[in-house]
Amino acid sequence: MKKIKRRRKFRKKSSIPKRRIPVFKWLAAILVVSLTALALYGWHLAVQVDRRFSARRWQIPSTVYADITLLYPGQRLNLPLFKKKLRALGYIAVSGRPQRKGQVRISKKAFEIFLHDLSTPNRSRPGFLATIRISGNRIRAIEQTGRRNLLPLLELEPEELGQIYGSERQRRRLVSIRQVPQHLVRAVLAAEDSNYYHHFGFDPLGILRAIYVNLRHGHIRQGASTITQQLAKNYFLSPERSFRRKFNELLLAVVMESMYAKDTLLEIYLNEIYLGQNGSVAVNGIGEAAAFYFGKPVEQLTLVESATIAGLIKAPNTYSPHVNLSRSKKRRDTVLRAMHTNGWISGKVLEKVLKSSVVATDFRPLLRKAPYFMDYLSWQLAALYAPEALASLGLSVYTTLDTQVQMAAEQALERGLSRLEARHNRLKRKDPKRRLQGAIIVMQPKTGYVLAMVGGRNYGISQYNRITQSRRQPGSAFKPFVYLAALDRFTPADRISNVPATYTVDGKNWRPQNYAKDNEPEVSVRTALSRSLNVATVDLAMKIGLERIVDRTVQFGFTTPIKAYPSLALGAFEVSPLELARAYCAFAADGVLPYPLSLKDVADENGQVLQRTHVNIEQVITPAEAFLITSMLQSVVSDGTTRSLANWSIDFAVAGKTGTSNDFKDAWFVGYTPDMLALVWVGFDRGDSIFASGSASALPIWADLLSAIPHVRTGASFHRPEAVRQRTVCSDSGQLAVSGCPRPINEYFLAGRLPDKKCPLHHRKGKLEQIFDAFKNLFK
Amino acid sequence: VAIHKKTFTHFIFSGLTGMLVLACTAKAPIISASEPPHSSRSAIESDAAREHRLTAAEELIEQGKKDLRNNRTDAAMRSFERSIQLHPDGWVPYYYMAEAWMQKGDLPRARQFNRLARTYADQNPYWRGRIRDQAQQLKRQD
Repeated sequence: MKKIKRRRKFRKKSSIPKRRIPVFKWLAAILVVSLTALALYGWHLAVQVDRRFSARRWQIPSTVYADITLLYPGQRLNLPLFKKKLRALGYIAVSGRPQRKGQVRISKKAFEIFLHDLSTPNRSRPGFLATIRISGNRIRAIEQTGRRNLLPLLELEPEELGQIYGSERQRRRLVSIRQVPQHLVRAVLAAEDSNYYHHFGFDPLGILRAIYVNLRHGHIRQGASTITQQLAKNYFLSPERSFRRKFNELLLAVVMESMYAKDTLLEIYLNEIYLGQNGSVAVNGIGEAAAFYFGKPVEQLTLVESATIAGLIKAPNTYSPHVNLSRSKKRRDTVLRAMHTNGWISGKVLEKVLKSSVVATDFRPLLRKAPYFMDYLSWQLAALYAPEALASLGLSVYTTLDTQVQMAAEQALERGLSRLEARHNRLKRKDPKRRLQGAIIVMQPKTGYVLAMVGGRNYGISQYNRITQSRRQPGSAFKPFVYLAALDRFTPADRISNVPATYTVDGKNWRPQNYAKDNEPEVSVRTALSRSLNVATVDLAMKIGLERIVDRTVQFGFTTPIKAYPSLALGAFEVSPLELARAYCAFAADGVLPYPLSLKDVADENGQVLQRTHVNIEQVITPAEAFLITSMLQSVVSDGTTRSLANWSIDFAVAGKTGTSNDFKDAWFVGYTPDMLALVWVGFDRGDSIFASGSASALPIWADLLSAIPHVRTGASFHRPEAVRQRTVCSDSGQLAVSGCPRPINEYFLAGRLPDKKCPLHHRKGKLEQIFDAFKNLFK
Repeated sequence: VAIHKKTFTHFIFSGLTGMLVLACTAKAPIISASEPPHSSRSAIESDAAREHRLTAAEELIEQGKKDLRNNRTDAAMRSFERSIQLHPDGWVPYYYMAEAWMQKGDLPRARQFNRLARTYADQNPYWRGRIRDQAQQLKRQD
């Protein structure tokens, strides 16, 4: 029964006609599902695009700049150095009158410069044509050409020192689409995507055309990627060649086109594209390319220059004008012809521009200028910004560096050290890391501006900054601080003992000797310092008390411990060269100790100042004391240990002191004018002897440097404060000179420490005076 | 001939004696201990060159004063700093640096620059007066 029922049931079922879903419905369903999936995927991509484009689009490295250069009539120039400066600022020498910003015509009597715009956080002015008239090596006049307007002062824009990169070593100058000349836009479109303004992300006709061309030639000859697709690929996709990536590229292009205006996408593209290589750093975007290849802002690019840049997109390093001019021209001409085909330039214009050659600026490798200074600066910046911020936020960092002084310092150091090595075979070393070293710092005493810093001979070999990181014995370069401490009790005219004596230090006998034979048993304080007499200096130090010297020295901001040993007077403790230079600034700057200033302003991409540092000073000694020390240090130069400076045509007011540490391990010279101070150190890192004194090794380097930087010397003399008086004294007794004194000299004194006695050695007393003295003695 | 010879001998003798007396009584030349011989021929800077330099420094001071009036204190200070570069002994930039620090409310720094201005303006009664007034103003603000 059950079987029968089952059969019936089966029959019943099979008798119902079978219901079939039509194919089109299946297709529709698949389409709906696919479209939904595509929409969802598109939405996902749109979120990604939005996230990427609304955040920072590029990692822009921060740029470090040197200081503005001041030029004024009457100023002396080192013309070769000045020409180098102009080249470094991107000025291109032309034979005719400069027509555009960034051009200069140089003749024997004048520099005609079409200045770049100046734009810093504190100063800005548009570029204009100026003529700097030269007479000898002096600026005779500066005038605004055309207006016959004499200028009292001209400011040159700050020179770029370098950039602070992150892991991506890319240079990029952002430009707005509004800044881009139309011929450049058209050149790029002609080269890459002439139909750009008419498609919706990808170009079906272009794809068909590419397929046809490639099939006809049997290999891939033409691509069909639109500018939007290239952008999608560069921004979001890997460079792999696969169907999936191509599909994503198309979809992204459509999504991006639906989200952003054509001009916006083009602007992003123009800032993004890779356009060449400068050493290890990539040149990205047309802004950077305009500067790199043609030394000008993008707005000033001509039609042919624009076509050259547009031609680079295909293969930047193949078509670079720095690599191969004829290849670059051929590619440029192709772009120009494409522009003509599109109707963007007339046949006449095409004919004319095809005849022109490609004129690019010289290749300027991205050398890291002032590398030790940059390290010093980075150390300060690290306290303010994270490394990622410095590498990506496009900050502008303005510093105090003077690139002409820096160049001169680097050259003087290398020349000086090579000279020493050539003269003394014992100083030569095979291992470059063990070679004779040197360091220079140049400062402006009154502001503390660091004008130049050379921390070693070759940054590539040794990055150790001997100005900021090393600690070395200053030797006699420390003596001025001993004499400063003595000014409370002694005058420059006072006589002190120069007879060798033995001192007991930690239970051991110590007997200082003079460097040169000096048999005078007694010398003036001034002579003791000018001739750098060790015996007299130690005697003076013991008379005034070592603690007194320590107390006064501490005021100058030395961070290394200074202990009250007798050898302190001869500089037998270690100091940082930077700190020593800073301390000497107080003598040059009327007793004011400046804080070394290298970082001035930090501005963001929009020019908004984020950080400022101003001159920071502290009065540590009186102007009168500073003047007396300076005056005695002038004697070092005029008739002391550094008389040889006269051979270097140093004909301006200079004060300075040499220093040589034990066994000639360190040689120093610290010298200054009222406007600038330079410290030179020479030695071996491992403390080997250099077999030469400070005056034989460091001084010539200093003199070489000073003669190369006339533009920072005003020629002013040292200011004598009111509290310093001049008196004529006997050089034998140090007391007021009388008519019988054989060697009277004019000497400076602090107003409160004027000599009041007549020279006892040459003063013949009258009878009345003798009687008066006898009475005086009687009552005593 | 004999008389003539005697007269001549007398003449020579008295001449030599006179010269000896003069030499003994004459003052020895005074040498300046502190001014090096080559710095005294400081044809270093001609008057015209100095004039130009001071004009350039003045130009910077004027720029700074303008910025100071427009409350662009930091820009003003940069101009004054540059002016110091061109005229290290000029008291005017120090005076205005003190003004700028006062404007920024940093009185200790203002005092430092006021003191410096006073150091350099020792020969100028007008500016001494202004600098003194500034010092008093600083005292009042304490």
